[in-house]
Amino acid sequence: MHRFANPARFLRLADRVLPVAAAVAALSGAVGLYLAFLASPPDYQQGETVRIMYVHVPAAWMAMFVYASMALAAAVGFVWKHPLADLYTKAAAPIGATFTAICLITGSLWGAPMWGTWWVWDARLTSVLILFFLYLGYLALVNAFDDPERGIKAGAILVLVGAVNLPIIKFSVDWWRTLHQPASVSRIGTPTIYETMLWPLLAMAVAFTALHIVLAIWRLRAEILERKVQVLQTLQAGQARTAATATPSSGVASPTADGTPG
Amino acid sequence: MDGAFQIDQHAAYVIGAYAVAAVGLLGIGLASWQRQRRLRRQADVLEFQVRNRRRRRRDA
Repeated sequence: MHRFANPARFLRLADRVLPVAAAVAALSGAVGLYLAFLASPPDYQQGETVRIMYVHVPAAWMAMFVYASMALAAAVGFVWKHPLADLYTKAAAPIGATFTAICLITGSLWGAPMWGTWWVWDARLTSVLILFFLYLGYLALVNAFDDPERGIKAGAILVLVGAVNLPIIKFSVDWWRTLHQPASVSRIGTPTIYETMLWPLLAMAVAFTALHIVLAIWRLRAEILERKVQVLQTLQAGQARTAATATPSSGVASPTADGTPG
Repeated sequence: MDGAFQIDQHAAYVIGAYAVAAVGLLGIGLASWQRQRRLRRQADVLEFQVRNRRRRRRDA
């Protein structure tokens, strides 16, 4: 794992992974959309609205998966001081927030015709809403410090504390008997979902996972480049200062200690 | 195809859900791609300037 603590080595690996992940995302996304809209039948009770599930359920899985990966990265950053683990936590948060927002909005769009309401304070819905606020809170906290490293550390604590919400989301449908249906795909044993509806769900889940890899690489690369730019700007400022002190008779007035032109 | 999507009274909800997902994923995708592209260009320019200045100092 520490092999990839070196950003240059990580970026070389990322350059190889990126086209593969992008191709998998595009291909499985296309297959998923075909299966969702053309090959899978409407549900005998839900009718056409069942097709919302093929985007809602994978988005919900990704919302939880991204947060779990952030919590893992935060723990790795704390224990092993892995620099890229800390950067991953920061890079993945907007992606997780997007998946959570998609999950909440598409769920609401399904609930309106099926439940007769856009929102209920159901245990599953409420715990996913809390997950969304955790993402937003993390993003606000991590950018609230002058020193980015302190922001990342504070954010990592929030992510680790918030991880307690993940089992609550997963088991909320078992612990509390509320409106949201219990698990039908990730059950121990066989899934209770019909095969023609399972395949589009899985294809979209693969597409979302591959898309997450692409987005995480782009965002991680941006975080690494941002630090590189800061280092180069400091170097450039140092060079400019050295040049100004080395050539005092160059005609350029250098400021004195009290700020007046020399 | 007998399972194909048909416009019924709930079609707007289905189309709306996919539109929300598409806009959200396209938005985060474009923002992420553009940010790393801008920073890469900025880093390349700065690297060139720092290296150039260093070479000029050495030559002088």
